[in-house]
Amino acid sequence: MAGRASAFSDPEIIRLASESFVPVTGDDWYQRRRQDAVGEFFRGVARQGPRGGTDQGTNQGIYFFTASGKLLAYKNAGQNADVMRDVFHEALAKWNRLPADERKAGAALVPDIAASDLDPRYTRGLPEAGLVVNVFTRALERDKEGRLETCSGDTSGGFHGFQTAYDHLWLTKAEWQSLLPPEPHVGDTVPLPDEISARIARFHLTDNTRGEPNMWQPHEVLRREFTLTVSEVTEERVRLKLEGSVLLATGPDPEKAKRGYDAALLGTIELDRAGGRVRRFDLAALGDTWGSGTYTRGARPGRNPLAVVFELAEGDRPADKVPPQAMREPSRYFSASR
Amino acid sequence: MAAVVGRRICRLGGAPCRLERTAHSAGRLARDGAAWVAVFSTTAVWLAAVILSCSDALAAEPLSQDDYAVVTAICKPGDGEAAWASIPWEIDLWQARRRAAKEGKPIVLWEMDGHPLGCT
Repeated sequence: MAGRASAFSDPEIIRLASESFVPVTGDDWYQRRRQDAVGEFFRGVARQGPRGGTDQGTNQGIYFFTASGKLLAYKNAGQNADVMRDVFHEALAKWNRLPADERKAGAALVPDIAASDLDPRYTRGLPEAGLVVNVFTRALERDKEGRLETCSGDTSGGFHGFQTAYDHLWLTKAEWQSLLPPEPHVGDTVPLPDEISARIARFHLTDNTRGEPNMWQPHEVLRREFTLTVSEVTEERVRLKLEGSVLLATGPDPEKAKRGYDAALLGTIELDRAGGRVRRFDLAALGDTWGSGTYTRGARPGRNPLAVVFELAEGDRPADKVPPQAMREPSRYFSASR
Repeated sequence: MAAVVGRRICRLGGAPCRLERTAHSAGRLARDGAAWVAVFSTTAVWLAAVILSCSDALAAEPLSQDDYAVVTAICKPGDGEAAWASIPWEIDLWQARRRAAKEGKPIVLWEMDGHPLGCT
């Protein structure tokens, strides 16, 4: 997502967004479709801009508007910080030209919305006591000695997906509690619960570094092997070593498959013995990826290293509450193994 | 052969993977000038071994704890790569609207296909 590294990493834009505006993010897939007050408000703002505000096509972009819904400025993306800085100033200038009565605190009346009035088809929430794990994905390359390193804009030959991509893994309370063996002894080996390993493989070992990724279909999971080994047991906690291996490909013959990921995994999960919480969920996948997806054109030629790292979210930042990309279809997300 | 070797995940320290060493051994045998039949037989055995190991070749090398540390360090955003995350983003448009009304500020909405704080 280009705007992260360009416009929204610019110090002046960060200052303006943080101090002079209320900054908010949204996934247009939900927002343009939802049939409730939130969707109506957003589409009303978007209708004043070039996207048109319909639910038939994308309305993505960067919008500047008032709490009452008056559009001040619009830019389709934030690739160029210089351009975006000008748009911020243009929006702020238009805001300042509005009558003082429109701008003052409390001028716009925004009613509260009951949760029951939100369109449930396009509203997502973490299940009660669910676990959020941050997922980072990055395209890597090898140096002349074969050592892995990050791709850089200079060496990527026009390849644009060299920045870290983000997603979140959600586990229900019952799922993360199922990770705790009933009578753990060091050296015991148990499989990772099927639903968790299937969810990780199908929805989180994807190459999302160049845009919205295709999720793996059940028949595209050619190998999915995860093993948990009890590595430490104390009165307070249990530590588990997680090892795994996946082969994901768009065809039964990975030699010929147009897209795939062949990776090994290693990690550590640590739980309170009382079952109260997960202390650690550290997992790394490393393997070769190949091929482009529907919305992720421009893959590097051949097979190239891709890393995926999982780490427990702090849980108190708004960003931690962003649903997993694959939660657009929650029934599928929570039944990945079927 | 190079293409097959290239699909393997070599260890992070750069040591050659198993299939790469096998290929080099076969190459030396051919260069020793053995009889054509012997070379053919050797090659056939070697090819069979490669074919048999192809399914294994498509299994990435297991990660060591050292590998894990390196991968984790370079995969996550480095210093200065997550400045955008320092902006106090709301993720609820209606909540942002209420806050803007209360504070007397305009709103900036970063709206993408795929959530800007997740997804890609």
